[in-house]
Amino acid sequence: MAAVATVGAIGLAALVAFVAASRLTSSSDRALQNTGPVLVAIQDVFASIAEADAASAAVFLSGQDEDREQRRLYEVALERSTAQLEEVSRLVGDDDATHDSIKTIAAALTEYAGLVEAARLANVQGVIGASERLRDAIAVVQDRIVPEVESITEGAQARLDDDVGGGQTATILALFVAAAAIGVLVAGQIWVSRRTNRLLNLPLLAATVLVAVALVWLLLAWVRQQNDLELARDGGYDSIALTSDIQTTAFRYKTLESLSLISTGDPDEQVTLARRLAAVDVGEPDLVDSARRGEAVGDGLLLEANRTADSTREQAATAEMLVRWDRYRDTSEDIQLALDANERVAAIELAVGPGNADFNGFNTSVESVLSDNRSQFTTGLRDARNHLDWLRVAMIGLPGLAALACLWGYQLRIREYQR
Amino acid sequence: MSLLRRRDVLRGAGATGLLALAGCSRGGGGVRQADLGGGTELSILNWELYIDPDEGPTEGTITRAERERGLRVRYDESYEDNIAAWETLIAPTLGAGDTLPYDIITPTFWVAARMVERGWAEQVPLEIVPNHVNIDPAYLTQPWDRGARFHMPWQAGITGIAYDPSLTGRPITSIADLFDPAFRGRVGIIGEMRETVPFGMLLNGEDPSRPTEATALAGLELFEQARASGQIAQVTFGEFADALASGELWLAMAWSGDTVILQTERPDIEFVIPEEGAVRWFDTMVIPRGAANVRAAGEWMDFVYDPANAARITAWVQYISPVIGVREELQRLGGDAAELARNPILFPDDETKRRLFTWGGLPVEAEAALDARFAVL
Repeated sequence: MAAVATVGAIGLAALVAFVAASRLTSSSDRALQNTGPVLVAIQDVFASIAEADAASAAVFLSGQDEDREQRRLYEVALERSTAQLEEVSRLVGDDDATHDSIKTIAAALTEYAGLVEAARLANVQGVIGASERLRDAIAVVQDRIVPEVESITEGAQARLDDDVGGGQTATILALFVAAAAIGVLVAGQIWVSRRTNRLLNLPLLAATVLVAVALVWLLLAWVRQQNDLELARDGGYDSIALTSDIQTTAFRYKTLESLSLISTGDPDEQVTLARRLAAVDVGEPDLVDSARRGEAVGDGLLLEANRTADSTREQAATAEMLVRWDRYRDTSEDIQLALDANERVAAIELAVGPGNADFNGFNTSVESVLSDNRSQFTTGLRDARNHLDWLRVAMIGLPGLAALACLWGYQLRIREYQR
Repeated sequence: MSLLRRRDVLRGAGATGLLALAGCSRGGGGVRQADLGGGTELSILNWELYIDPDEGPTEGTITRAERERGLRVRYDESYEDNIAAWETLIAPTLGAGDTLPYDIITPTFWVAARMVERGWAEQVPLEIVPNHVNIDPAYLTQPWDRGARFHMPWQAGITGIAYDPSLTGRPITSIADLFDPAFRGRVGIIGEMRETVPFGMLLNGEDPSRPTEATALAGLELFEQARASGQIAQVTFGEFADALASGELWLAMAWSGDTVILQTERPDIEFVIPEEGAVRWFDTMVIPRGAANVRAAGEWMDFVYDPANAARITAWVQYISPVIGVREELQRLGGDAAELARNPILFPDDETKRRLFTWGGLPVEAEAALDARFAVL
């Protein structure tokens, strides 16, 4: 009877531990293979569309003698966004809401590209209405694409939170059941020792140790997995979100600048966006030096990114972001000064020359930081998954061995009794 | 006339120097270095005549870098030919998981692109290279390394058209002029596929920064036909300068840096960016995978990206510097250097820059096929 109760307790512990291990593994797999890549890919989609948007406006500004480098950047960014959207579609599986959003974005992208081409053609031919078409295209991005991207991002973030917390209840239950099984084994050991001359029944002791090892294994794997998942989410994904925010805010700023040059921009919103990125003069040498140590002081996304940088490399990269933003901002202010002085031609020359170059410099420096953050995020997810290698096998194998040892221990006790 | 020509070649001369390189060591096997290495030894492989040497009491860049950054530099000028370097040194060594005996090599951009795409380059150690911010943004949008995380351009140049107006009898403005029957047998082209084929593509209205096999082939065929008909007299590397100076060629595809040097003795020789556009190329510093002294490599990169130091290199090699602030530094140096700061070949204006294209690359097999066909020219 005691043997049946003990083996039953071990079996129950094995079953619950296996379920817990499976849930931990599947949530980690989902984060690594699905949720994480979706989050990264949807940020990429948005960044690509924003880049295409800024480049198309720059192409438009260059007039009949089209800026082919900006045109190349526009076409490449648009192609990239389409491919990235397909990747998101592949990754999200059977999530209908996300698929609906993807369809909306895809349709809006097609309309957007059509409007850009119409604006381009009208611009080259000098036909009235070119500016309006470009403004319509920009509105498609702002009014139809941005909300859907945000919706997909929110959904994926919620799923990542679920994945980080996935399997917790089952694991806690498994730990309690395993502890209870150890209790039953200890009780069995005491019961046997009182009925034999031996102080310890070695097979029962071995069974206890095996179940204890399983318990510790599960506990350590769970703690380490949670730790790495949280690191990936907080240190990796949050940084991705922050850097993406920087990128899209800057693209919006650039688009508004282009609109100012075409006809109607919103200089006030530009100033607001600039302040959102950095509320202080980021070109000050002292501030750049501080940024290289990750100690930049002041409000704004760029400075926040610098302070949250968690390696000397990332600190250097975010410092470069500050310097390149400062260069672009200086040029941008010159453009605005020219516009204020009604020197539109000079303003456009500045915008399509040094303005575009400085902005590209800034944008690629942001991409560098983003790339490091992505790498950190996926490494964290992979590390989290690595802690679960062999966990399911161990959760079946160790209690299984424990059950056999347990039966052997009680068999020894029966033989001794028979003698 | 004795002209210092950096890209003179050497390029077509084969791989003798590379084959004679010191043995490559078994190394990192593709594993990312855990640290940057703390040594001060630095081994650099570069093209010949591509850095200012010590001249009398004036220290060259290498000596100053050694003194100011505490480096001990082994500077090897035996990089002679991109294709040979790729086939005999870089691909066999790094592809086998071995390491090169250099901490920095300076191939032309397309070789660097192949290295980056195969994971054969170390990241630039940004934490040691604050002057990374001085890279001209024009070099940051390469599709194979946006943001220049794995390379830092060394020097750049333009392949345009140089001509002797007294012989052509009219200004040269278009790539189509290379095919004008009036200049039959007096035209030279550059013997580098990635510079000449783009010229053909530009004439066809195509964008060389995004080639396809079909558009590249169509560009090549223009030159094959012109060569076969005798329109093109010579396929040259740096020799175009001598041929122009002697009157052997009236017009030729030409490298900007060599032309600047030629113009010091023949100021009447003109250099133009054709109306269809021209080709921009650059050689770039790459830290090969598994390099022993990444930290020292970073120190070097940071040093040569200080505008004051970069200006001295520019003043000597007379190619386009990829470093922001060099023009101002040249002006500050005064004299001949200040004169260079006004040279539109070294510092093209924004309108000109918009007409410069860098070869975008094709799959390796397709490029090899083009290389083979081009070599027959």
